[in-house]
Amino acid sequence: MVFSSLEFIFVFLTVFLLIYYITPEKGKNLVLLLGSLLFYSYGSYRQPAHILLMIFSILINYLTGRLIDGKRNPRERRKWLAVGLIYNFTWLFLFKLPMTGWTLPIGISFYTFQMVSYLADVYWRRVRAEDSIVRLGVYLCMFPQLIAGPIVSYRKIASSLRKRKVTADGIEWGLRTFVIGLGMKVLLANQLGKLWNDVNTIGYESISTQLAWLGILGFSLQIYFDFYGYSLMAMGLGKLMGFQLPVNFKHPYMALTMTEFFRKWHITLGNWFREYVYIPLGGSRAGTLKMIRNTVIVWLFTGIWHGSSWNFVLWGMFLCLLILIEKAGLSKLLNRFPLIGHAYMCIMIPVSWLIFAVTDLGQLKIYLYKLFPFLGEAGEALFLQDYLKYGKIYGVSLILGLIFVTRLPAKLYRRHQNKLLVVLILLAVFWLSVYCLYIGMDDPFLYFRF
Amino acid sequence: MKRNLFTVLLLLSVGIALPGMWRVILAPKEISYVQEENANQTDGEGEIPPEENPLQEENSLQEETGEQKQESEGAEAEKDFTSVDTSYWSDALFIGDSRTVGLSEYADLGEADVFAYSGMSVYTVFQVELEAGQSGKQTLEELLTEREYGKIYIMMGINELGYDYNATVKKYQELVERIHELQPQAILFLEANLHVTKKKSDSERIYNNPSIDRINQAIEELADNKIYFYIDVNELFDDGQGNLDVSYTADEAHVLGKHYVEWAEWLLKKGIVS
Repeated sequence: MVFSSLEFIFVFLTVFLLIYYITPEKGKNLVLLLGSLLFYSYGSYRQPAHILLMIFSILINYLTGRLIDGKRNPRERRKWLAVGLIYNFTWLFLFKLPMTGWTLPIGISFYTFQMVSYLADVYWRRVRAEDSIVRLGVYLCMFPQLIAGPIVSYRKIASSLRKRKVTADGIEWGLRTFVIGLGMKVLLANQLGKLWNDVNTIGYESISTQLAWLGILGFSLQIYFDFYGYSLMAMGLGKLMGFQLPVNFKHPYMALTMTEFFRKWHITLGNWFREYVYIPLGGSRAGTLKMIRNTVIVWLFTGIWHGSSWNFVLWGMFLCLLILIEKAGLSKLLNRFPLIGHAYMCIMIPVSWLIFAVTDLGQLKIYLYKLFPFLGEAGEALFLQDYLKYGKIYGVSLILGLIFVTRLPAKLYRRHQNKLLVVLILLAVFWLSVYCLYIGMDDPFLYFRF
Repeated sequence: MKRNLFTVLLLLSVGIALPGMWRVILAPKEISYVQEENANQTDGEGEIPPEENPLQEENSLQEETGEQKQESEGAEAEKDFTSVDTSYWSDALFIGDSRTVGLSEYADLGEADVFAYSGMSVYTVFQVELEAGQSGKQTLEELLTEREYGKIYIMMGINELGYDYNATVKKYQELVERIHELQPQAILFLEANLHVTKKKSDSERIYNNPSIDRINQAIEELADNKIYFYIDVNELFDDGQGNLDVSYTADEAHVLGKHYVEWAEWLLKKGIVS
């Protein structure tokens, strides 16, 4: 069940919040845990094993955490940490391995990382092991961040797990944030996604260079609003229950370098890799060669984390290369001359998303040739005015998308958020999104047309 | 109050809408099921699910109209397909849905007029205004009274699969008859609907290949090989088991742009010359 569905908003969330709010303080965590497991079961009912795995993992990590915390002998502690890490990563690895052919459990990439960060923090004595299995269960699988993050570290919400306050202002903020995220997902990402679908339907060989650029622009905007929207919805939902979930995006498309981009894109994942991989490996403190090695390792795993086909490895390595070149001095130039920085990112962002989006390497080559015709010939554009046709259909969505990647809308929102007009706009965004979800669901003739 | 205005307004509006939303969300499956049942009943043979026995069912219904045709046009001899070139289409009109749009965009249809849009169905074909001929946006009726065509290609039926089957067949027949009335000199090519892939077909309750075959069968029954000719492009793109071959498509339902070129070449082998 995704947040951007009528079932979630009007059935699950409505009923859940009613029960949650009337439950006395003591029982709230249990209600949240059971609600989250129910939420998870709804999405995974065809794979009951995935639900069992989730419950089993809560148990195992609870016990392992206690064991690591309880031992004094460093070797014992290290042993139990190793057991915990092997347990968590083995499942992730087995499910991601193409050879097993297993269906990836929903959210496993996210909750595995949360579990690992919990065990590592307990091991490093940054935090005590959780003594309540319900609280640990809430941390690992609370539904706002279960499916698509943000990746929260236990030590940052440990105190909220024990005691948290829901205020009228918090609810107002949570609802607004949820609605803004919903609008991004439904009104922008879903519309822009259709453009990328159309380009795929035609086939890369037959599109014009203009449409190739339009298509990858559409995909770049879609993946941003999809993911950012989802993260905002998660933050909003968390706030409705008194949690302050971390910010996951900070206008990444305004970045001047790839290095900066990934400090602003999926921030909680970048932080996880920095904290639990890059720095433990020595980071950049152990000489240039080790720094390069560590960067390569981080990006290799970042690539594989996103998907298990070769293009994701290529994607990670492409970004790694750019980031290393930037580190070697390019970023100084790009930061000093913002115009050059933006121009550089206008090429690199779409190209990197292209590598991400196209899983077949042969097709990827064709698309690259279409984007940059001077590289080589990749089939004749059969319909020369294709970009005019799709520009007309998706022009408004593309322009809106380009406006909403800048800082301007957020700035205007902050300045005027208490004005009646803004409140009415948000209300319109909510009901328009609901309407779009409704026609998508109830009218197959509109949703699925030949 | 003012600081929490959004909360108040949102909860108020959600509260008002909630009963209606619940009806919509919790009921849709039931509604579609009823519709399907009704469709079966009006078929005349309610017990036989259409998926299991698509062919038998409408034979009896369609034979009648087929015979009528043969009686009225009995004097003319049947004609055979021959190869032609694109000049054949200088007096042609293509009417259809997204598959026809694809043909017109990615293949060379010569100087043919195209009256097509994504989502076209026999229920909307006389209502929409499209830019097809030389006079800007017009309805099909206007287009057909304005110019004389030598041949008219019609490819529709898949967007109609969610509607009542018999109503669709009747509508299709009316469309074909009306076109013949307005353009008595024209040859009408009744094109089969392209299959979808096996994967899509297996996962779709409405847009699946048994349903496509069923409507195609009804379309074929209308052909008399004198004025009405049935042509089935699935012979070109099928996987041998009655599904669209996956290698021709990225979305499981349309051929890739470059394959429309082959489609048009195939159409040129199906010319009828008097």
